[in-house]
Amino acid sequence: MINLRDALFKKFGTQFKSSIQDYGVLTIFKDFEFPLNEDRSDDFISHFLDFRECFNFHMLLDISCEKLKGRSLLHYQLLNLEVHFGLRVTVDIGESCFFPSVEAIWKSARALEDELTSRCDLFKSTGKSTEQKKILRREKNEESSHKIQGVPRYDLPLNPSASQKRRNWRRFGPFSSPFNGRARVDYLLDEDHVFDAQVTTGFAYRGFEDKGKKLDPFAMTLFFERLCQRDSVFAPLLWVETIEKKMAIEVPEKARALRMVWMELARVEGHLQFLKELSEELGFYVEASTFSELLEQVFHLYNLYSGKSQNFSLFTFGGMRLHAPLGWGTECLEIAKYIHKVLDQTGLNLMRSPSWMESTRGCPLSAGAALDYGFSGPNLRACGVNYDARKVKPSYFYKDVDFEVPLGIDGTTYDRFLVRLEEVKQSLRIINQVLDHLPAGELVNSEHSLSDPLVEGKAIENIDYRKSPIIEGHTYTTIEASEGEIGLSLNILEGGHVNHFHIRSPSLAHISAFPSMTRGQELSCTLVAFSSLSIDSWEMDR
Amino acid sequence: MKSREDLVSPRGGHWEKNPSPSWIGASFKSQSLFSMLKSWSRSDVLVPFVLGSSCCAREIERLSGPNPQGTLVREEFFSQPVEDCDVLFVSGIINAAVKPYMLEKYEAMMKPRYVVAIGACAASGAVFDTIAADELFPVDVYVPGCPPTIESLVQAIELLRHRVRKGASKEVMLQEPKA
Repeated sequence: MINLRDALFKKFGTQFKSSIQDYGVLTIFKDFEFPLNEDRSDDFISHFLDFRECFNFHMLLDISCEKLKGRSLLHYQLLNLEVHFGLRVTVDIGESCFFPSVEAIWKSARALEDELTSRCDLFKSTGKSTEQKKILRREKNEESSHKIQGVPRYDLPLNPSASQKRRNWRRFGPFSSPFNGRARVDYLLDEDHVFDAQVTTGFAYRGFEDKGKKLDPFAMTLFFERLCQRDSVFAPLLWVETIEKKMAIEVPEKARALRMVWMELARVEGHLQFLKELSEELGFYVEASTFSELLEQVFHLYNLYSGKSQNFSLFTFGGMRLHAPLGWGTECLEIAKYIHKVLDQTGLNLMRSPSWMESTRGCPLSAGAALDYGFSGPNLRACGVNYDARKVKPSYFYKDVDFEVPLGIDGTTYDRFLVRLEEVKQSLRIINQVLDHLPAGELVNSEHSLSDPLVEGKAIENIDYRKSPIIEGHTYTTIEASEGEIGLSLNILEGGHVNHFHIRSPSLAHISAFPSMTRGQELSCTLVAFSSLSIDSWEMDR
Repeated sequence: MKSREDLVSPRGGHWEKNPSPSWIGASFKSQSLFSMLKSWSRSDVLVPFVLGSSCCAREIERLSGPNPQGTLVREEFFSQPVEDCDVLFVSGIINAAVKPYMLEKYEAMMKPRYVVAIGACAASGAVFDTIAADELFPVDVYVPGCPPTIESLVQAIELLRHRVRKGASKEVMLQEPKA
């Protein structure tokens, strides 16, 4: 890592800053011109090619846009997996509305740049002035129509073969199984074989990021609980951890241990949801009902602790709001034992079933492609990449507990199923270890300016959240959620004004790889594969 | 004998104090014995279609699973094509992109059809600046909560059954001319 930091410093000089061991900041192209010309565009792309080829930043995690005094700043989040070093590259594109695309370098860039185009009014451009004029003209003429878009037209080649004549586009979704409101997929089909696919998302877009800028830190914790559809533990914890990190708030040991238990319970819940969905999709209804019974057990634990089965309002800056009720730990251990026992049997039944094996073997994805598309979480591990943020940069007590990271081989649906099945067992193992050695002491640290009024019994009216001094500056924090790494890019200016607030979504990366996974596969296989990617639409569209 | 308003309204005396809207009486008047029989038989076999992919959708799924109230909606009913469904569960936010697809599903449903708006997002958009469900289709029952508890969902289905038994569909009532 020292070598990489030195190399970056040698090449970019004072433009490169790195105050933390595993994260750096780099600002390039401070005087990007308008209109963007071809030379500048080539220069830009060669810089980014260097990041990939010379500095081994194989993953592009996120691209976001920040508006500052009428100028647009593009933030690229890169990751070097070998030494686990993150880099934020900032490009100032000035008042221009064009930016060069890095799609040729990282495949994950496509979905991210499309999002920039639709939400920030920025356009991809190669630098040709004629092209830019055409884009602007098209934008002016385009009216937003709220009708169902038709399927694309398939243009036959000059001498079409019999197979080519049979091909046509068909719409699937968004409200049919397995898409269930997450996406609309248009397939180019020849009978049962898929030749191409197009994915349309944005059905759950609700302006989360715009709304989030205006809220105070406490409201944000509750707001973050509504970020994901699947669980409401990781996202609020991400927010709470970000602020704790910014303000250097210490969390008591007991709260850290309990947070770990909650995170692993949420992981168990997320994976059980996945297993239930997949077995329902494949028609294994007995197994699906077994998984939903196990889910009820997890909900029972949630209910015992917080009185709710989701959106718990449990985490606060410096600890947790509620103590574990008497006997909750014992109940938790018993339920963990029960889930482990039932899951062993059900998992074995599924693994021995030839029908299950047959229908889940399709849609493989290589490790290289998965990295290129910016995969994370169990979907990445199913492709054989040994990367788990809990092992690489352990927070809380993850370095003290004993657990393994299960890996797949070729990234098929079967691998994704196996990895999750094993991860549930590993999570239960972590829960057992933590609850066996639960530290004593305080649950919340109140010696800071963001202490929770509900914990201390103060009147809410007496506290002015606007005056809470959150340290300004740009941060990027991540959390290993059940379906991948959720990231938060936050820039707070002087006076507590949130200028930049962007969420890195793992599901967006997963869905962007779906068209390439489906090519040449059978239709039924691709539907199962969509289910197995476990897309969370709320977190994807935000 | 109970008054007409009492039969339709689950809250009973409330309607006597506050005069009921004209559409409640108008619909009930047109029920023949045969249609009453049909409504009564329909009320026990409601086939739902779930729209939306929100955190509330998870609570709806739990209706078919093992819950303290027993299995309320049978699991096989959840996987029916929309043409065979008569109850629409709307959950989560509704934005401009998803609106035409939701209307498409609603139009394809069997008649008479009923709509249940589940959760704060579907009812009013909640904290998000999105469209409320009643701007798209007539909503029969609202379920409050973010997310609603399983008990309130059970209560809402009971209420809907009551309304179906009495032949009180909001859609039909809005279409009929005022008496």
